[in-house]
Amino acid sequence: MIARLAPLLPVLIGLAVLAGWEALVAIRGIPPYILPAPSRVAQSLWLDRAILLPALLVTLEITAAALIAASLAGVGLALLFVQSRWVERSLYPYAVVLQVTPVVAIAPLVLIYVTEPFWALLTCAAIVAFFPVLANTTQGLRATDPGLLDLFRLYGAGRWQQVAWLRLPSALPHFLGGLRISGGLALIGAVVAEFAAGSTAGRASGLAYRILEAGYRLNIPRMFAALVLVALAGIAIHLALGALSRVILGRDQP
Amino acid sequence: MLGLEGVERRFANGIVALRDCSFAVAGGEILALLGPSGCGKSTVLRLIAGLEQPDAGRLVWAAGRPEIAYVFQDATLMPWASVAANVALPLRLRGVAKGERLARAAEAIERVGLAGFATARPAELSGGMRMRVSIARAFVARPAVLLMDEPFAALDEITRLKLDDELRRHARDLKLTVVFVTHSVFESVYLADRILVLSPRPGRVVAEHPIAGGADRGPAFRAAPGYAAQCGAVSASLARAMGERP
Repeated sequence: MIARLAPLLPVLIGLAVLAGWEALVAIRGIPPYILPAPSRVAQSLWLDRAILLPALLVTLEITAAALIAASLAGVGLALLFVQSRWVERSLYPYAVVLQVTPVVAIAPLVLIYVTEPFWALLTCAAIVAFFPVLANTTQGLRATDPGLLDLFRLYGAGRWQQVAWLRLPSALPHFLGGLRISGGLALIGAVVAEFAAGSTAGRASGLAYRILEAGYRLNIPRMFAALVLVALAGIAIHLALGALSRVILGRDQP
Repeated sequence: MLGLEGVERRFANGIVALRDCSFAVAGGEILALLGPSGCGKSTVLRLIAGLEQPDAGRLVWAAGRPEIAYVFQDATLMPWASVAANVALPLRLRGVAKGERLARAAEAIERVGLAGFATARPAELSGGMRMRVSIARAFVARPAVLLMDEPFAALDEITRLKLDDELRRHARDLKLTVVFVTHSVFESVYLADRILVLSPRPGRVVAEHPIAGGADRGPAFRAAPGYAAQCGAVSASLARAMGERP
């Protein structure tokens, strides 16, 4: 009985916290510009949907585009690394530099040189997202069964046959693992870059911009509502990439 | 069929795997290379397969390099591919048309007794079945020489004995020359027509044992007193190779 309730535990805790929060705000009479009750946030979600939903779409669009760009760049660079140790030794430190430099610090520069806001935000999000794909795919390509590599050599396989029929399929589970980490990072990158961009975002106004804007107007319930959407987007991306892995690798894979 | 003449192989880290290693392989024989772990047995196979080149000495094929197949200690299958795709791999790498390669793969799969498992994935098979897939893959390109690196070492005793029997049968049917590496005295005596004992590293041939017992072997061969006697003799020369008193 208790074991069957286990998956519901996080939901129960969430509901308890929301109920406590709602009660606290009601009993203390806290005004919504200090701390809005959950019901007030829900109301804002609904009433401001005309502003928040397009913003959600913009953020998701940037995240998805950044994830695709990061995947292409990461896999491409990983393939280059595996072909030549010299290329890896020459370029890998720069990939690490890109990874360890906070995107908030890079974003203002990117915004100067990439004038179109959509592309600027995409660039920032892709920089944050690309390292896990690169690192995991490189590791996967290198982890190819040495016996199978010998077998390919024995039967005279060419370089592209080795890559297409052996190394890439071997690296696929590693790549998908990296992609799941990158999915979350792309969203973080997109949001953080938009914060850094501030009012320059213009037409490409995502959720982060709406949070900033609502903050300036002391519209705290809308800030919370936008935050809820960011969190939901993150969960949706995580679940979608998990499902993608299961479909590609088959059900028996973890 | 093949001669190794004074072959030496040293690795980049300075380890000399083989030194002055010489022996001949006759066409159609099953030859066992028996030696302690790390004596360079696998290196001999890799040299014969052309995966490595000798640093001194040479390999001489009597009539040009024949089609060579290699069976590793593990099944070494592509986990994402079906049994049929795994078995057909050598043909695919050689550019054989799809229809012919599937037909030949099906033939090889049937030979090793896995008919009906062509669409299974390696993860769905037992260790013994995976090894059979690996053997089918070795047969598919119609090799003249089969190299095996401790092929059944990871399997349980019963499966191993069964695969040993099947292997002798396949080798005879397909007129294969087999060179295999093992550290099991019993397996080498049972399976081989001739055993070469290798010294510890740097490896070279220190003793030779032709095995009497004819082509047909089975449980009766293992039960015969001659089997135990030959195992004893081979064990003694392995112990001498290791520098121990027998």
